[in-house]
Amino acid sequence: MRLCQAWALYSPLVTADAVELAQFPELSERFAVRAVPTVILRAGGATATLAGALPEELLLAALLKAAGPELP
Amino acid sequence: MEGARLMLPARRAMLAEALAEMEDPVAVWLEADEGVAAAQDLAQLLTIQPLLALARRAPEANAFLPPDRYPLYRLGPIGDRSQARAGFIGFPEGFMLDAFCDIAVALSRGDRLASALARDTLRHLVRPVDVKVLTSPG
Repeated sequence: MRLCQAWALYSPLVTADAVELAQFPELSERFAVRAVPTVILRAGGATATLAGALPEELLLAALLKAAGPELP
Repeated sequence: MEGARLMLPARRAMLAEALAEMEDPVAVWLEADEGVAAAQDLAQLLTIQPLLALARRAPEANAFLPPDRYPLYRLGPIGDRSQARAGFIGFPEGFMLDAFCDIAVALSRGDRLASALARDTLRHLVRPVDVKVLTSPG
C-alpha cells in the first residue's frame, strides 16, 4: 500500500489513496475484488484493475501503460 | 479524544522529533464532513508544529466514494492542499497515525520513499493518474 503512496509523494501526476475495503463493501462488488490488495488505476477515462500482491515492476508497468506516453 | 488515546506518548514524541528535523515538513490534511467528530479530534491532536491538520470536505473524492461516509486523510506539503496526494480512507485512526509516523520519520531521515525504479518510471508519466489501493489492515 505504501508503495503507491510513495509514488504520490514523489510525482505530482500521481494521487494514491489506500481504502479500507471492509468499510466500503460496495467497492468489492463494483470492482469484482477477488484478492487484496486490489489496485485500481484511473487515467484519461480508462480504468485498469490489478488483483493481489504484485511485484513493483508489474505495478509500475501498468502505471506507465495507463499514464505514460502513447506508443506509436 | 479518540486519536489521543490511540497514539502512545512515545510514538507521538517520535513523530514530533521527526517533524522538527524535516526541512520541508509534511502536513496531514483531513478532508471530512464537519459532523465527523473523530476527524475533528484527530485534527486537534495533530496540531503539533510543524505538522498541520485541517478539516474540510473532499469534493474531488465524490466520484469514488460518498463524502459523507468517511474522513479522508492525505499527506502533503503545508500550505498547498492540492499537493496532498497520498491518503488513507476508512482506516482506524491508530493505523493511520502509525502510517503517517512511519512516513514522517522516513522523510526526516532523508530516505527516498520511492525506489530508484519507481522514480525512473514516474519521470515518464505524461498525464495524471489516480491510484486506489483497496485493502484491509487486518
